Amino acid sequence: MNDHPNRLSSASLPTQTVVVRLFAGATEIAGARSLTVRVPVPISLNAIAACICAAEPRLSDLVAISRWAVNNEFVESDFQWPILTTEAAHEIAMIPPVSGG
Amino acid sequence: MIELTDQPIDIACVLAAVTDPACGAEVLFIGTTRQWTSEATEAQSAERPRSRETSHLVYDGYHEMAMAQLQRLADSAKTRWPVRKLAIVHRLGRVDPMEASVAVAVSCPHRSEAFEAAKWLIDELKHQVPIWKQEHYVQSGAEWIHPTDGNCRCTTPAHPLPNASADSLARPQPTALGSKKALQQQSQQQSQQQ
Repeated sequence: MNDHPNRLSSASLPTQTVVVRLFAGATEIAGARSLTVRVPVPISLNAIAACICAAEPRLSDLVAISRWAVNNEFVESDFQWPILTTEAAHEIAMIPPVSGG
Repeated sequence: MIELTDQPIDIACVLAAVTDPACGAEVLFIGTTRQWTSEATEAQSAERPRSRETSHLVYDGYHEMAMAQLQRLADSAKTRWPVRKLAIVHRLGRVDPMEASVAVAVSCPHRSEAFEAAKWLIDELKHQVPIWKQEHYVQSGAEWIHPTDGNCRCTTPAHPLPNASADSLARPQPTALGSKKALQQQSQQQSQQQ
């Protein structure tokens, strides 16, 4: 075994730290503008959503009705990244139902 | 002209931005902060008081993405209608009653297409642009507004939009997360218990 971050011992799945930007009601509930979670690699939005609910259960109701954005574009919830070997170079945001206008 | 601002919207400036010698129609929509929201305009639960007084709104926005989405809507509108010029300005931060929260203006050669384009833009803005309002009530506290399908007041267009099938900005659906059903069942159970 070597110390490559994505080749850990067989007992533990490789994980990666992901920062998710929060807005509006999600910010109020979490008390923060972002949430940092560790998710299994390869990263999927479904896994990120599950990790957010686990880290902050009070966000669960809002997570259930939210959309997601990666690099300023809406993406489907089954969006999945290729295996990442470095820090995710993607900006991830939880987008609760919007109410502009 | 696409802007997010924490300053009052200069309506004359918005209108001037779309005036065009090839256009006989400029349509300007201004969304203003409601001071009074009555049951007739608020399709939510009957538990709410008959009429609520809003002291002010506070808008939160995902600035970079909101600008990107507004630009996408502007580009899309120009492919659908003969829009010559277009302006969208949205407030962020605190907005007091009767102040403009948003202004949408388009210019087209003729009025019918200008009306259609302006209506489409404001309707899409309300679904596609990551901006949120927090209502501060005179009587009781404040709440972030996160509308769901059940309380969306958009009406289905009487006539299908041109190029609707090729629309990459289709009406959004909440993402179907794996945990969604479980969460809904959980919340239903909770509401039954209450």
